[in-house]
Amino acid sequence: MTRYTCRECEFFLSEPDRLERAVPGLNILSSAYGSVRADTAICERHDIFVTPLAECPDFRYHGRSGPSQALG
Amino acid sequence: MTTQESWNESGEGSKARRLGLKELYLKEDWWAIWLGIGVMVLAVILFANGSTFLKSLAINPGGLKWTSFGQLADHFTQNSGMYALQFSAWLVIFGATTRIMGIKLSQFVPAFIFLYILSIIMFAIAGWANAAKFNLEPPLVALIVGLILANFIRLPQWMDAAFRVEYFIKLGIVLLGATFPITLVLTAGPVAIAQATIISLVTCLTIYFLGTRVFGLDRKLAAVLGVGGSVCGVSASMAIATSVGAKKDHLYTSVTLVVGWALVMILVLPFISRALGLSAGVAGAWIGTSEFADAAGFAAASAYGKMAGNEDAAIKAFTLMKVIGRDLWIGIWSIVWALIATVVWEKKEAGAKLDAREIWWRFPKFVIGFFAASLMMTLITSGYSAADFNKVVKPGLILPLVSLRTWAFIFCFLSIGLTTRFRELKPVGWKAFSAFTMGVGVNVLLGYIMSVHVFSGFWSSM
Repeated sequence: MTRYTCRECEFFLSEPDRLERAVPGLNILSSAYGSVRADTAICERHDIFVTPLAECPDFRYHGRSGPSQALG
Repeated sequence: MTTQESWNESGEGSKARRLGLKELYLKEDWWAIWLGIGVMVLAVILFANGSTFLKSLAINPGGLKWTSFGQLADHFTQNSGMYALQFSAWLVIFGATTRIMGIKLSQFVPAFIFLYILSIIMFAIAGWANAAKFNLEPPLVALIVGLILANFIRLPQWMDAAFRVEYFIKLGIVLLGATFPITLVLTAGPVAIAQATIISLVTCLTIYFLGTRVFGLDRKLAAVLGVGGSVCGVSASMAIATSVGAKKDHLYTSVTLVVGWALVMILVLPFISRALGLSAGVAGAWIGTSEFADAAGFAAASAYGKMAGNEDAAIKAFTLMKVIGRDLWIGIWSIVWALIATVVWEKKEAGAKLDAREIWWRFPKFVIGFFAASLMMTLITSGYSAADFNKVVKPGLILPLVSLRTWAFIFCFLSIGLTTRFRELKPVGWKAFSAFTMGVGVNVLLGYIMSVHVFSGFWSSM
């Protein structure tokens, strides 16, 4: 069985430049390029903050790379 | 079953969450460390070899005290070569590092040229002999000019590529470490941590309980606002948004409130401090507990320090209170809120799985650079007598570093204004506004009592 997580989902928005565009004003007194953000990302499907290893039933594979881990 | 209820984070393989070594070149915190320490080491080498190159490279017109445009023009004519070299150095350093982080050079270069020219103008205004008489403090002028350009001239958004507020302030803080004795960090740090922790806790709980119990806000929104108003502004809000699984709109609300109040306090706190006749150290500590964001706080502390004629004390007290007293602990706040979401709230609401490594992942790494620079410079200069330090080390090594730090700060203060487009900020409901504003009131009042009365003797001796 293969387990896919948000990292492989097309709704997963983690690139810093896109994050800053997604939340206008984020770059005024903060930054998506800073350490404090760590791996925080936005789920564009549900508009909530997630980490790469979250999962949900609305997953849609982005088709760019393999799963985070495969469970045999 | 709603999506929110079914949200889950797999426990296995949480190592995969880390960027690993990539963080060393993909995060601006690390670049601030590499650049800050690199500049400091270069400065020490040049100083040891008797070179005045760095002194020349750190040139700015801020100390001219000019009284006619002719004097100003002469300064630029005589030093045009140094300014060209300095501009090239900044452009290459920031251009290359931001490119590695993923920012387009085609957008960065023209925007940075604009930023550099504006910065020169800000320094020139600061160097006017009558600048102080008209309260033309560089941080305040830079902020207001930036706001006007962003909101009336409407600069294109792509120019934000070079207006990297956080990157500039982090580099400035690492360079500040080079002029900050480690002994001061060690002796004053615990007091700053104690004062900041009390105020942060009280403020965060005030916003959270007023938000949830009085104004009926969503508890995730209240949590995001609570840390935004008490720990480290939008950066803390973003960290906690992940811990509790908050919505994007929650962070958007925090951005509006944090930016709005931070700007008000930059413009107001220095003048209130002056009206109250506070010493630079006391005002710096008060601003350190009142301002949410490092960049905004440095602008306010630097402005008042210049008004009071002791910028060094204001900046040092602010740094101790804000950077060491509050910023260091974001990871712990993140863990605590994840714990609350998991244990106190219903488990299904938890955003991220509890993981103690979060403390390191979310640690503001640039602070390591501040400590390293402070320790290294203290050791390097420890062999000099006080007289030699003031006669030789200060003009040849310390002051050029202070000037380069001031450049980083001016880039930052201008960038705050240039990126603040009021039309893009989300309108905020009166309930969120009220909860946050009351928290700001408690924060400012408690900070005042502790800085001006409880620890007055301590901060005024800065």
